[in-house]
Amino acid sequence: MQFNGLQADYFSVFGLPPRYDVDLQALEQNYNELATELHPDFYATAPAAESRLSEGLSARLNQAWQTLQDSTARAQYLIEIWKVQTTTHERDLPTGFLQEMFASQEELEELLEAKDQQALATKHADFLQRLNELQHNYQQQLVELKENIPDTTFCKRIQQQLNAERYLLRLLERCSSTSSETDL
Amino acid sequence: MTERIIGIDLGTTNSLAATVFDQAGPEVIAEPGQTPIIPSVLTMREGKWLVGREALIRSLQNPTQTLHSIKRLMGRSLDEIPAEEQAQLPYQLRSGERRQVLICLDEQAFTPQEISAEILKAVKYQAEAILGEILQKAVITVPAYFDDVQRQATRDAARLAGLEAVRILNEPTAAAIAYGLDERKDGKIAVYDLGGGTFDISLLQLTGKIFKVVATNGDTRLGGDDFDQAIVGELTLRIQQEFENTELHSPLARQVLRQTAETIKIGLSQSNEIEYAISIEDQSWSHQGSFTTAELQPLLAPVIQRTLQRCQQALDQAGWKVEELDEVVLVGGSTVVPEVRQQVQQFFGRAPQVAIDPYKVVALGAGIQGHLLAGGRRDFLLLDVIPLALGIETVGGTFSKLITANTTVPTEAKDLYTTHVDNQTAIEINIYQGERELVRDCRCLGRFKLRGIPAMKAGLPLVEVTFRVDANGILSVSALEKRSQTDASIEVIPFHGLTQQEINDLLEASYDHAIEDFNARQLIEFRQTAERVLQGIEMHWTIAEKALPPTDCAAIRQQMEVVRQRMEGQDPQVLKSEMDRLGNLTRSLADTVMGQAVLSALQEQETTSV
Repeated sequence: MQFNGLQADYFSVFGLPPRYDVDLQALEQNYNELATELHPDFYATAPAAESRLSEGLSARLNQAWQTLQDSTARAQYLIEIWKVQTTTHERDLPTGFLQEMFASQEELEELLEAKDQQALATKHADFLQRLNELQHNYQQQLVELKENIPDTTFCKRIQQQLNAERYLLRLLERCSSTSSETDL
Repeated sequence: MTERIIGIDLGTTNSLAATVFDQAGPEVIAEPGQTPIIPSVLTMREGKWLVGREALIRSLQNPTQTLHSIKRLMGRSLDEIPAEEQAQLPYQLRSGERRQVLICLDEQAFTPQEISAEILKAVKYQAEAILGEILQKAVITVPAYFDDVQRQATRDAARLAGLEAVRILNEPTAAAIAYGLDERKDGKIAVYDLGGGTFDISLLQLTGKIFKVVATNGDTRLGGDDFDQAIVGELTLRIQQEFENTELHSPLARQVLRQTAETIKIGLSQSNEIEYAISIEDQSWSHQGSFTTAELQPLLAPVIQRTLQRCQQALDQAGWKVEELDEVVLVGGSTVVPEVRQQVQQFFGRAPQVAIDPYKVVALGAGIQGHLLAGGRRDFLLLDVIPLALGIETVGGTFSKLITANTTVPTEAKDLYTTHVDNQTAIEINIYQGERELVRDCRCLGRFKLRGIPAMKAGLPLVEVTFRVDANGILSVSALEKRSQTDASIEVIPFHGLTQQEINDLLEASYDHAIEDFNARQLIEFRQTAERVLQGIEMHWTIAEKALPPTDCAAIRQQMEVVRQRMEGQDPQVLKSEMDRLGNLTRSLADTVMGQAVLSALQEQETTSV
């Protein structure tokens, strides 16, 4: 079991440069090869130390892959490894975002109360469009950055947009909560 | 290949095993011409467990003493089982230590783990007798939507049955292996698995040798049992319409209604109408009627609808559209119901794949995975996911997710904790699993107590806790104090399930079962030896006929026949003594053969030395 780069960042695990636009196909192929090398299924009858190692390495590999293949997690991860001191709080949102959402959200609560499925579907579509705009916006900025390390202001701006993204995702979930809510 | 690892499908209604044979490939383990299936039904007779068909046959004679659908109780506490579901069971439940559910039988009470262990033992013994090998390792399948507690309970059941669960494998994934290796086509597949008591939907991406689960969803309390209950409800209405104030809540009545419902369900899988008659011993009335598929349809529809909602959720989680799927596979006994097939076909817009027997496909997949784990092959890799998020309780009872649902396993997450008071040396963390926002809507897996934190000012210690989920979907936790680099010790206080001590106690208490085990093993061993001895004698028979008087030859022949008969029996000691007798009779033959062998060996040596 040879696997270097475990202590390194997630990008170098796959031999990729630390930048936002990732060749997803290459990532996938690389991941598949490494997973085949390391998976605990192939060490089930190996000595305990070896199977433990395989388990640990696979856990890290899976995390690295899962982070990089997801466009939001990848952005969040980049901010982390740039180690820029962002004092940005989780509730820190882009200027004007909360005001913009306030009215929409109130409307949503009323629709939920009234169980107006059709209006809820429209609302859902609106939020989705807003989400797409937001994602497109920050992704564009990150792609243009290439391999440069940005300054604090840039990171803060991206972080705010990531927070807004999470906010919108929660609203989207709420829109569909009445139609598919079942007890888990 | 090293030691054989069999695959076991431990089902709500039926259980069976499969393995890979060098020549024949994966096959269910059964006597030729017999069914491999052991009904997951138990009863007690004269203090001993009776498992499978025999227990099923007796279930009408002693309904309160017949245990079925135990899988639905695995890893649950009494207050998690709705009152209506409890009322449907002919046996009594009560709460044990740590709110663990216990099943009452006579004066005794058993955990679901102990009872599942008896089913696993029955499967194991049957497989051992057929394969003629002692089995100690198995891949055991569980519903993909089983949480950590339910998985651990299954693993503990295996331990109690004398089996190491090398892997806890998700049922739909097992089915995907069985299908995927058969076809070897890249693409997206959906596995719709409706069993007796559980429902799973898993979406997989097949690329080359990799089987990757992308999303899984389900309900661990939804299955064919619910179809039966819906039919029981209808039958109850009909009977009470005809005979007012009929008492239908006795255990016997419930058992009769349940079995009638099952018969109706199965009957309507083959024809459009079925006649039935119900009468209950010690009650004066009898009711007859008929059931049509048109009457059945509205009863089943709500249950099927719930499964399809789960399918949609899984598709949303994967970000897939229904049209993108290349294949839909049906698994589980309840998918033989025509209404299910029809609805599934309509939802997915394509005819589902049913080439492999839905009763066997999960066990077959588990057998193949067991073969891989034993080192028998390396031509595929399964990447499965955790079905429900794992996290901790934070301020205000909110659930803070550390590992989200559908994360590929094994995986891990780290989190930092500190102290709130000066010189605090212990921290408690409550761990939960679920998909809801508040911890009160999730399952508490247990409380983790970190001890041995060096005494420091409040807020100074940095305890890094690692939550690791292994390839079985089971959580383990470790902790490190970063400033002093000391391992904090962790005490796990499970909220469910059995502690290590309780498992050990149970294992010790089952000493009489150990004797049973021992007998079964001895029988297998003696049969193997007997087989070898008989073959040996046949091989040297020409020598025997020359060397021994005819009376001796006849005596040996006769004793060989006796041994053959005893090999079919169940008592290892009887077989042993008959073999000893055969040994005595053939001693002079053995000497002669030995003499011949020595002679020919000497001759060989002479020729080679020339």
